[in-house]
Amino acid sequence: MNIAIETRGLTKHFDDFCAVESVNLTVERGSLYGFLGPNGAGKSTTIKMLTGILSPSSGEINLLGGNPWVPQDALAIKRRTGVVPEDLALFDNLTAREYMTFIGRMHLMEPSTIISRTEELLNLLKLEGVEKKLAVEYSHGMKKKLALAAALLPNPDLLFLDEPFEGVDAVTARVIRDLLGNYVSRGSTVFVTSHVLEIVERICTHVGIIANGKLVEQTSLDQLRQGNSLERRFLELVGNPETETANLDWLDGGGTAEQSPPAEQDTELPS
Amino acid sequence: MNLKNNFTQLKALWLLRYQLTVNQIKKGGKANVVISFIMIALGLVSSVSAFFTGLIGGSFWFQEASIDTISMTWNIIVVAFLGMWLVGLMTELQQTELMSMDKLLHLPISLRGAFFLNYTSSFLNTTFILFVPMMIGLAFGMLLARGSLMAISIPLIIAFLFLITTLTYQLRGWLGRIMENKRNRGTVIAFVTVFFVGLSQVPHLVTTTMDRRKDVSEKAFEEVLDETREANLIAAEALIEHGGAEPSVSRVWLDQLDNNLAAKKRDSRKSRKAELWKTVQKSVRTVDAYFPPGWLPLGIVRAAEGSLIFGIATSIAMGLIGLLSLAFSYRSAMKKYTGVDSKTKKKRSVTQAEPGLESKYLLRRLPLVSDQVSAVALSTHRSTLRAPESKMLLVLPVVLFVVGMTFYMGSDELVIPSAIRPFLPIGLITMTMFSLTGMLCNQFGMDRDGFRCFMLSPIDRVDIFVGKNIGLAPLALGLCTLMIVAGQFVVPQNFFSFLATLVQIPAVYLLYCIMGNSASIYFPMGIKRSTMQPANPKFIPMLVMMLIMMFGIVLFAIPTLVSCGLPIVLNFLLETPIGPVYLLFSLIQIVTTYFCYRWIVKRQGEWLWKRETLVLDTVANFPE
Repeated sequence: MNIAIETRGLTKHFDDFCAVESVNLTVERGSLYGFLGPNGAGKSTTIKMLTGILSPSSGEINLLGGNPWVPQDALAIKRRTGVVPEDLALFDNLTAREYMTFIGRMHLMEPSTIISRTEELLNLLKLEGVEKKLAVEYSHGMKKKLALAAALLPNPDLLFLDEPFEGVDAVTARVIRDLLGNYVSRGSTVFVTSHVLEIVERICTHVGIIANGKLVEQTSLDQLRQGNSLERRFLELVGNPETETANLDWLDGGGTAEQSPPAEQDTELPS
Repeated sequence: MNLKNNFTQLKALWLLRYQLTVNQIKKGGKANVVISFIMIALGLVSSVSAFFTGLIGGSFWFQEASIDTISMTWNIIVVAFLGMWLVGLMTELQQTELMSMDKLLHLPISLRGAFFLNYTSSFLNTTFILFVPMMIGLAFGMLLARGSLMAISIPLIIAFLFLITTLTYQLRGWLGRIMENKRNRGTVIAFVTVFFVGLSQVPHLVTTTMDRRKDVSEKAFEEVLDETREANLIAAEALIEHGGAEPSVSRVWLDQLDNNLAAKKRDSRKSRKAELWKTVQKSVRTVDAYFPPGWLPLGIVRAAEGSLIFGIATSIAMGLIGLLSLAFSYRSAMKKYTGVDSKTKKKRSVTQAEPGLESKYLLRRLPLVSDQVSAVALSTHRSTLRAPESKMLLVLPVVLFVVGMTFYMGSDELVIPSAIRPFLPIGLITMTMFSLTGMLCNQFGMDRDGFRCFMLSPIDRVDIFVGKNIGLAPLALGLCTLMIVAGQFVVPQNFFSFLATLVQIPAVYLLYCIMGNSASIYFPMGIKRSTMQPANPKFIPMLVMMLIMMFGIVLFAIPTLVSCGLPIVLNFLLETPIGPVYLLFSLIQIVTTYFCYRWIVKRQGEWLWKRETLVLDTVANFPE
């Protein structure tokens, strides 16, 4: 079996709090691996440890045959990986093209290749119209798109995407989905975290679910679903709080709140 | 019911503001809470003391005081108030707004209500706490001391405060609208800072010019008197020589003449002082008459002279200006928040540049360094030039230089000995490096999330430092060269010293890079966007930065001082000119420093590799 990512006992403690506990991940090459979990489950912490942004407390990581935390391996691994981190990695005062150029040069790409690929990626992700703007002036969605374009620029073997669909419009989300599908079909690997289960269900081949820092499930998407929807299986594995919403019986939109002033009253402050 | 609702909302908003302030204080840690508590207590004590000082001073001192004294006292109060108010305004511009109107408008509250709250919240500041009780105390004191006419000072004070707060509020709103664009924010702050620094220099320049004029006229007069004394002395000696007078009688006569001349000198100085005082008074009154904040002192002066009309008229005028200003602010706020803004409808005509033209700069390859180092250097250079916070840092040494040179050129008595002259450019270089400490010693602070990009990139960490140091070099070296060349015109030194100083610039820069790189690894600081304020101030990094500013800069200037000082010592010991030794030493120094830098920066790359997650945690992970 050709493995792209493998972890053994990967653990991260923040003082007394254990954010990730003994996670054993196995991601095959050429797969689109969806890493799911509720808020605060440890998804971003795991991805940070895998990409060399956050040092693990213990455990082993094997990425494309090397360990990103060993100096001898680190640069070689970084050359073959692309990352869209949770908090992104943009320079406030560079334009999209400048940032892409910078990334290309970090990966020692030919100038002509940088220019042509940048042009294609910016056009595809609808960023070509805002090339005069600095990253600091971008909306969150635009920043996400730029980070994704930069991660794809060196055509990496392995792509880490932390919530790539968050804040991105429906049209671009579709473009990203297609793009990732094509990318994986050519033998590359994608490790993606997302809250949008529908998208994960459509694009991922394999799924890992983390809850309270522990990996509760890791298998192919088809095996996980077993004929059900991904949402149902996900809720079964991480717990379903739907019963608690029934307690808010006053939330009927009827405007019966006693404290609120009548609609015709002026709520102006004395001036 | 309606009024009750409104008041409930107002109370809730005031409580919110209070809670926000309390939370902000608590966020800074226990020490910050204690310091803030002490400051608040001191503020309250100062406020009460200021009121009673004003009251007692006004009741006793102003009973018999001349009109000129009253005028000067109130003018000084107004100038001090405006000065402190402007400093407060500057500080406020650099901070994120504590509670902006945007955060209120989704609530069931009218725009007028939010506007009113926002405006009144601007009253809560140190200047108000300190000056308003003093002004009111003084006004009551004068009322007691000089009679009912002085009651006009109360409406005058209220109108003055209304005028200042409304105009400031309008200015703040205008600047705030410009600064909504994050790219403009720092530029505005930098220009406002330079403007205020320039403004603060005006009194110094006026005093220097006046002193110069006074000195020239006084010197001319005293020269005439000295010449008269000399002539008298010659005449007395001639008289004694020809037997026309006894020496003792002549001595008495000369003494009398000397006394007369000394008295004349004294009288002349006295009358000149009185003349100057008169001119100052006249100028102050003229300024007061045409400059609205000056209507407060002038109105009080006129009342003290027995006329109430000016005071009443100016109170109304200040009130009207304030109302007009408030109306403008309100209209702008309405336009902004209701979206009916003609300015925003105008589309900016953007000239379409050739695609990729901007990024071609970053595609260049610098000589003698790798492709990756070139990319880091060029992107750092471009980023730094665009970053508003670095614009502020770059402007600072220029301002300091101009102020220093103005002071030097304005002083006739300051003569710099030739032996000291070569040290002055070193001072300029050190001053420039000092002002760039925030950038050099916290190289990743302004990268924020961008530092994550370095971490994820397949680049040797040593190359990051080399690239960053090369990227900042044109700014640091350019600024130093500019000042050294400009300084050469003001305080010229010989050609070889000048050349040696130019060689010193890169040598000093390399030394500061060694220090700065290490500080960036071990004591990084997160920097808030568009300011140079630490995002999450921690005691140790702040202390280290202060120590670097105080001692590190001096420590790293020692090699340069030795290179510069040795030739002077040799010259003194050998008692003969020894040629361009300073230049030779400087050349040796730059070669040595370069090799030291090369050796150390490699280690710094390894240190960064080990500590980069900690650096990232500090420079990128903080709440905005």
